[in-house]
Amino acid sequence: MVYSLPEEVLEHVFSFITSDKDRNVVSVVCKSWYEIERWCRRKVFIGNCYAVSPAIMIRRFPEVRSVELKGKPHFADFNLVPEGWGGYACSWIDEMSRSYPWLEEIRLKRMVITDESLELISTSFKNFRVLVLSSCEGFSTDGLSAIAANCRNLRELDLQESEVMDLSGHWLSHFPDTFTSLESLNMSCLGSEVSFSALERLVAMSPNLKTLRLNRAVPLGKLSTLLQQAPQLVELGTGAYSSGIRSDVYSALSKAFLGCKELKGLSGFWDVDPSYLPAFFSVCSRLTTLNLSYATIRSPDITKVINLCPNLQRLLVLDHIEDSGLNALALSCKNLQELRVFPSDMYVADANVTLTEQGLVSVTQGCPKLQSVLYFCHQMSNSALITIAKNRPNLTCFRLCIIEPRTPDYLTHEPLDIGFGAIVKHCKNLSRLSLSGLLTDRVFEYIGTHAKKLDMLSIAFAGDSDLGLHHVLSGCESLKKLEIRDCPFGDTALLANVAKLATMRSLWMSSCAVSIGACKILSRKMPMLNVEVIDENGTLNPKLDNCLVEKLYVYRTVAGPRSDMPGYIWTMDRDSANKI
Amino acid sequence: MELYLGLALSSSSSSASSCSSQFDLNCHESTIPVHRSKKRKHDDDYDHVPQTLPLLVWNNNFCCNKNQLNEEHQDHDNDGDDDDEVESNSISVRHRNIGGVIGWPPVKLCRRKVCHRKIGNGGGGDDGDGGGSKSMYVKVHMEGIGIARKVDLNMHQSYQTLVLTLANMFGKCYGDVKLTYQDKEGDWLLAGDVPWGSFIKTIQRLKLLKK
Repeated sequence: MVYSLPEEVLEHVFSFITSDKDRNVVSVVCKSWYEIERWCRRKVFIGNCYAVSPAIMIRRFPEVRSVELKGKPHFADFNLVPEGWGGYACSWIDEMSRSYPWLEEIRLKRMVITDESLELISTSFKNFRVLVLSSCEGFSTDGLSAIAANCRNLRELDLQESEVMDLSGHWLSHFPDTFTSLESLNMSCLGSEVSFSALERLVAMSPNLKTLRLNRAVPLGKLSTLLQQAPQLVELGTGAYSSGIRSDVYSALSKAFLGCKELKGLSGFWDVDPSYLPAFFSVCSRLTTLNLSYATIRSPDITKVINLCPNLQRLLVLDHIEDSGLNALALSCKNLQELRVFPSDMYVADANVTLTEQGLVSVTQGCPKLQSVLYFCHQMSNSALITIAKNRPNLTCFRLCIIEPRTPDYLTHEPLDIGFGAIVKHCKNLSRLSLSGLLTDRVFEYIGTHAKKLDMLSIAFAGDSDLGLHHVLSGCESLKKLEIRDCPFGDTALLANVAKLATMRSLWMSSCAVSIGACKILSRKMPMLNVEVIDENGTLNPKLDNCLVEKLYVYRTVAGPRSDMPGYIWTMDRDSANKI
Repeated sequence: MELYLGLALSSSSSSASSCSSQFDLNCHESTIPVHRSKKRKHDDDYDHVPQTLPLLVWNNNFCCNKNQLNEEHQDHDNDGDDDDEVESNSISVRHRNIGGVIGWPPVKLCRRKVCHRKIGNGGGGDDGDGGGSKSMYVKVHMEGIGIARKVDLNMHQSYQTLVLTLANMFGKCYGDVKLTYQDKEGDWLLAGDVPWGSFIKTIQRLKLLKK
């Protein structure tokens, strides 16, 4: 006798399963589960918008409420991907506007979206609630006006680090008088002023506002007004944090912060005047997130703040914090989970800033819950890395950037192979790693042997030969994203590991030693991959098989070659098309 | 051979000899990308590397630690030939070689602007006070358009972002324009050939031409 639960019951059970991975597993149990699951999947995450087409997504999941898409390769953040590469949201928005009338949430990262698409979003989805545009571009404040005017139930508008064409500061006034649903607004990336009266009005009519991130242009004097209207805020991003010498501004600000009993996260702090810092000291004991990474204040001031924040879980800061500030962090903040230290000077160590590897060692020693590290510095040693690895085996994300490429261990002048080797050996749950400093093929041998849970790896100016790349591709079982620049890795390793590439989301290689001949072979052997060669300078000669390629981006896809490639991308298909 | 100053250093100056093993480790027969901006013919052509710029010098100077860098520098003062180029390259590398290596260090544009403001303050020197920011506006003409615009060069650290901004300013596509500039001597040159730092020091005005 075959017994199976009725569909409605299964559907109800599945509704408790929210993670994508679990949902994917559920869907392959059997055909009927596949069918039931696909009808009740509400959230879709697509890590590479070219891996699948809108039509395929819509056909499989007809009742989706939330879509998240990522476009350009990660290295686009650092100017390595030329303009016009792609990542256009247009076709996605068009098709979803036709097929998902009940769509509520759209999250895009590193994509190009136009005002027309924003307007389409605002008019197509009656229940639209969440729009997150992270590191996106291609739109202006006109598009935002449409969103403001038409999305009656909007809860979240987050423009995190996007490039927005500032045509008018009045887009905020387009929110109608009846609009009361706003919970989160992040406009910190906007370059120019917004109408302050419109901002004030919006805050006043949003009783559920929990997150407000202002842009630099909002003066400090106005911040207290806003805070008084919104004492329920949980996350605040200030604008410029200075105001000349104005005791009235200071006292109003201080009083306003006193009223914010729910505040847990602070950010912003452009142009900080240290004398205004104490104004927010009253909220420090509750702070779990603090982003001072735009604040060029010095170590003593930073330390003073840190000593008041015992509940800090996440800290972003400039290297002005110095080793002394990091020592204070290690002593005061026992709940710290994530630390990001950014460089204040891009190229050369500022003689006035003493941030060394010691600061990081202290924090790994003193903060037992530390899991995620991003650290820019000028010197590192194997012994420090080994200490860090032994102190913090629970690290899941370790991104170290020693600013000068190929810097060796400053004590021994050796490569940093064994240091990073210790990291991957001890930190068994490491899922993200970025390497820097002088590194030979040996570090990749360690990584291939030990980094079994590694999901994303970034490599620059490292390695000696193809063996390095081969270790990574053959050893890192969980690897999904690999990005490499300026390494002597080439054809041999790539062609020896073609099957691996189909298990990964994407591979980026620029200024390496891959030839066009190898790209042709790869394309022929692996039809489920898109092999895209970027030839910005037009120097590529596809007929010469041993001609090296500038930049290569390889990704798996079920959607075939994409139709929106700019002229400077070479693919096998284009090549054959030209020959016909 | 000029560009192999680093390598030349290692063979000619004794203080750098301890470096040479490191050079070998990194630079010998494996295909270093730098010389690859022109088509690579053959591994044997390794010696005849065409002139590409800072990346190779960067590699070589930073293969050693800073102490050795100083030593080499002193030694080279005595050497005579190659002197000027080593000087200018070491200096350019030590003193903010802006635009030298694209996308390195890996910091997003929004953060670079914060750092750059700090550098912009100092001008050439080291007053280092953190207040306010210095703008560097130059006039830009677009071929065929009567009205000129102005652009703040301190908001940019690379040719790429500058051309993109200018193209957008005049409603053109990035790929349809090329950028020229007039230098201190009054000559009109194609932008992009000199390191950004030198470009900033000498530029007087800009002109965008249609391709």
